[in-house]
Amino acid sequence: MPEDVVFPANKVFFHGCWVYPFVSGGCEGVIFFGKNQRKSYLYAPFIKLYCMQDIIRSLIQEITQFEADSQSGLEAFRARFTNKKAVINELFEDFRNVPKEDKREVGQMLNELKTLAFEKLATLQELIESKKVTYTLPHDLSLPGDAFVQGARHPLATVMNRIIHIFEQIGFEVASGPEIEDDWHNFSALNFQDNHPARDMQDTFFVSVNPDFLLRTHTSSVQIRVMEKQKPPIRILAPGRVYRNEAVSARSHCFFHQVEGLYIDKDVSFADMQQTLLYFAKAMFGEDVKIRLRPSYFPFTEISAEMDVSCQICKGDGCNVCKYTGWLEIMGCGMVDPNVLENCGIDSSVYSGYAFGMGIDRLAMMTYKVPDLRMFSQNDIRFLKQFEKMEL
Amino acid sequence: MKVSYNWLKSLLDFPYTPDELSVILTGLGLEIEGIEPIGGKEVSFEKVVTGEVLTVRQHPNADRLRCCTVSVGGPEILSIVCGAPNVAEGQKVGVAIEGAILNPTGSTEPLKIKKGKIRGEESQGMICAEDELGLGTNHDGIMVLPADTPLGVPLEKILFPITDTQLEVAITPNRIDAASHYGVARDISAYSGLPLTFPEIFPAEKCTGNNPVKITIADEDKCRRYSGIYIKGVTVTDSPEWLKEKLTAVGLRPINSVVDITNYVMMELGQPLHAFDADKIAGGEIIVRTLPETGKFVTLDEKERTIQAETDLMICDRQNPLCIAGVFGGLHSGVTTETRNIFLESAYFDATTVRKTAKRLGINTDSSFRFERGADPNMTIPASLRAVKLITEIAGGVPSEINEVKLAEFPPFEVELSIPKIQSLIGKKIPKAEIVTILHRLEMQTEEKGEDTLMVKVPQYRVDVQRPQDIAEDILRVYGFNNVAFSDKISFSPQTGNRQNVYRLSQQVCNTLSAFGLYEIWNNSLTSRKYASENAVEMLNPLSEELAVMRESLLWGALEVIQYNQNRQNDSLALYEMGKVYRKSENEGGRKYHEQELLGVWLTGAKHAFHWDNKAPETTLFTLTKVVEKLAAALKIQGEIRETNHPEMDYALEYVSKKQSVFVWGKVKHEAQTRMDLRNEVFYLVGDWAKMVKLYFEQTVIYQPLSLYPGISRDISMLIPEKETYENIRKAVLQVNPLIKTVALHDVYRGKNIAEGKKSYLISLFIQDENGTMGDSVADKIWEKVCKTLENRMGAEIRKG
Repeated sequence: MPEDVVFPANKVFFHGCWVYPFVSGGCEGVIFFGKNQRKSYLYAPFIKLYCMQDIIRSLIQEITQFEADSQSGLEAFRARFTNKKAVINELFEDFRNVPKEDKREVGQMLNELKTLAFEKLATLQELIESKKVTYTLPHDLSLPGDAFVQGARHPLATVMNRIIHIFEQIGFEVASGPEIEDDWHNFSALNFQDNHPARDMQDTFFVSVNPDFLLRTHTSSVQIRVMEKQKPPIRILAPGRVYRNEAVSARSHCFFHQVEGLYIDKDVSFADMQQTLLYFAKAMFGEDVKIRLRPSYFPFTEISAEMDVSCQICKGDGCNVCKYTGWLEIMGCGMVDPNVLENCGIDSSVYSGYAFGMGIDRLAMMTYKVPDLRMFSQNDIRFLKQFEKMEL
Repeated sequence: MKVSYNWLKSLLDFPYTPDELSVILTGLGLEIEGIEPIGGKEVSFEKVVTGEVLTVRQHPNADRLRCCTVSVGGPEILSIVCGAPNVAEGQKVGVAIEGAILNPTGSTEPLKIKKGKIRGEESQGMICAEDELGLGTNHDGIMVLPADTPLGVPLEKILFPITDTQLEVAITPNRIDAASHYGVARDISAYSGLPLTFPEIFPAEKCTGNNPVKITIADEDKCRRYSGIYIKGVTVTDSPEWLKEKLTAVGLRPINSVVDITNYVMMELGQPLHAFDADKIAGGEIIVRTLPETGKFVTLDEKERTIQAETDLMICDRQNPLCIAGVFGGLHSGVTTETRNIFLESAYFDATTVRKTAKRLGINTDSSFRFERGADPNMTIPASLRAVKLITEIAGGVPSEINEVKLAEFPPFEVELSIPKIQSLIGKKIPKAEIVTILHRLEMQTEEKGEDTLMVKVPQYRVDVQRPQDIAEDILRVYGFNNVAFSDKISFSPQTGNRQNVYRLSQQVCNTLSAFGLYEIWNNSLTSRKYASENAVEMLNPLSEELAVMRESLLWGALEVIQYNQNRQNDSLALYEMGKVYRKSENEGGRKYHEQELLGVWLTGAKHAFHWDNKAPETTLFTLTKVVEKLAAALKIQGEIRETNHPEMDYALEYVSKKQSVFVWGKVKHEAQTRMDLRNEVFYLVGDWAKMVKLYFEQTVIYQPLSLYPGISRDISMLIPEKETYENIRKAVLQVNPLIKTVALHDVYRGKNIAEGKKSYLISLFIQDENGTMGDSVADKIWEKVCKTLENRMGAEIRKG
């Protein structure tokens, strides 16, 4: 069938037959569906005769190729194909004129045609709906975003929170104590003997002598505060601010922050501590981190250790951050000295435990590669704005 | 403490490189903080290597030049034209090959070595003279190296060989036993099982000369042992090279042979020794005592020190103090090159005494460092015999018999060790046999006491090892901290106590404030005395005036931050800090210290950065009011806003809940703003954290039924006197009828077309009945009643119609 044959919607009744006028190749013609005739025949002798099958095929093609991107196009489609008076309904009406032997085939084709038309209608409707413009486009999409204030947590708070969160997941609870401490809680109860060189390890700010009051030099004082009040099991974490009488420089400050952990229970071993600290290191620095414990000395622990983690920058190969050792020192830890337990009224023959403590400021320096400790208390807004990313 | 790798190796022949040794010692608890090669030099002659002159012939075209063939170790033989008169076959020389860049002495231009022809003869490099390498001015001829110099080696390795390695060992206070080469070697021996040899000493039985110096210990508590050997007829000179080298390697300055030997023995065995010029000991007696009266004493460094009566232990002769015991020598009694006879002191001084004196005088010597941590009382005699051995060898002289005052015996500490307890503490069943082996290697003797118990004898030099836990640490550090396997599980007994997680609440509050657009700051709690009141907590030993007191308010730190940022072109700021303030109070009960946790918020400058769509509005008090309202809602603290006074604010509001003032906010006093040189007004909020916590935990959220019926909005436009406040209006309106659910302020107008002393407010009411549909007539009646109330109570003129 020539592609340019278009069947108009209107048919006329002529000589007892429905006659479809049509235009093809510049010629006009009509098609008859004669009564009791096997096939329609051509009225105009120079035009080929088309049967209903041909008409349906032509319509299928027309529907498939139909395009509309506006409401009026959609209306045109309806008028041509799906309205009550449109061509498809006409063909259904003409179905009775189709010769018996063709009925099965033509009937099937007609149904397909109808389905196709309604599907197309739905598609077109959807398309037009989606293209409907209900807004006015800004004249310049690249204009700066609205002024809306951002805000951020302090990087030390973020690091401290992260550490606390990790330990809270394994049952540690936050405890606190005063910053202006007496000698007992900061030193004596922690097994710092009078006139022992261990006291020199921490340069202390004194606010009063006799009785001695000082700014706590470590959060370990909270261990004593808790153990004096609470019976084991004790599983606490003490974050807080501490002070050392040290010259202020890029690497040290007269005030900084620590998180202290303490677990006292029956049968707590060094191996338990190692496992806990390994868990922490992995949660803090990543699954592939390694830890290393080295013997060290703190008056309040016996079996004292420093914990190093494998340098996350060079992955242990050595770089200037880890001073080419492949390891970074992050905390001190150890088994609580029996004297400390006894000082707090806890029977050291029944209970044992471990304690650990780490400096937040140094950890934050490491985490964010901050070159100067003083920046944390300078509070330059340009610095603070670098930490707008929310951390978990 | 600095130790020499070679020195250690002379005591114990171990197979480790300096790097390996560093790892081993760190694992044993002697942390190596630095590894420095000794010798070597920070010079590098690129492409200058050692070579051998194979043949020398006269240059055919130049009288002064020779043509040489030179081997630099490889298969290639170099042809080099050389002008030096002393070049000869078979010499080992430094050869600059093609591509070398030299910096000759006195030249600013580097000298580049290229292949080329010199008067028609090929030359592929240069045989170097000293000045051509920048090593001196000598240009008499080429530098000839020792005949056994290997070929093809970078020249700097031959000229400046690395002879030793210095290790910096961190000695923790409990490990004074390791403050010597012998002590460090003892740990290496414990680790490796390799045998340790004690250095050669002078046989005690050969110390037979007359000892003319009598010893008396007057303060017996402060000195338990004192010994002295008189060495007659010494010749004090410079030390031999080997001795100087060893001292330099551990960072000590050579002085003279006798002083150097005392230092050497201290570094070797850990026992501080002191050598006196015996002829300067008046009356032939050494008296160890404190002074009856406080007085001056001039130490070796020519400084005058105050010696406290009955406190500082002194080594005296019959007339004068000679030396501060265990701390520092005196200026006049030391050994010099003039000295002919010496008295060698080796003593055990009380740690606390030495520490107190050294600390008060601000002196920290190698000697005081060791005594105050606890020297080995049983090392006094062996150490002095070691020194006698070296002195007689180097400085000559004849040793006398040993004079010793021994007030105490120092037997080993005895510790009963339960193996299962140690295993349970460590969390690993280290076999008993292995434990015993480790203890023996640590020079601890063991004795079986039943199946599971050992009696351990701990040598005196391990001052910190007196309990089973201490021994456990020693076992573990030799066994290897990292050889304890990790347990598979984390098991713990849960705590049930602190259900009010105040920490978490503080973090939520901070997160909320940051989400409001505020930046968290952390300020130092130590601040300047200029901000302090009489209640401030002061440091007795402040770092500086600027860091002399604890802050009493969060304000000044924040204003400093605002100033700091303003000076860096950032003057629009929204900041907060959660922190403590501190003060002291005095009463009959004595002095008390108080710490209070506060929340501070500061807003200044524009509310947000300039924006194209909206001119940036300035921050006002009401910006802070919103912060308070949001925070109160987030904490579920119900209360009301009232005007109040605050010493740091020109005008202020407070948020009162349950009769407690939770938040106070207002404008920072103008004086403070001027004092800090701030361009913009600062709005400041202080919140009492303890009250916030208390009120937060008192409230719980309980569902309230939602109204099924619609409500009605009604507006009221009114003129009111200037002095009236919105808060009063709001409260008055809400009291009229419980069906009034909310009041909102929609417009405020003052100025043009409004009568003097009046202002125009437009408010909006929302009226709703939970139990039924609100009729217009009911709403109208309520509206009218509200109007009347406002007219009567606050003289409002209602604009009707």
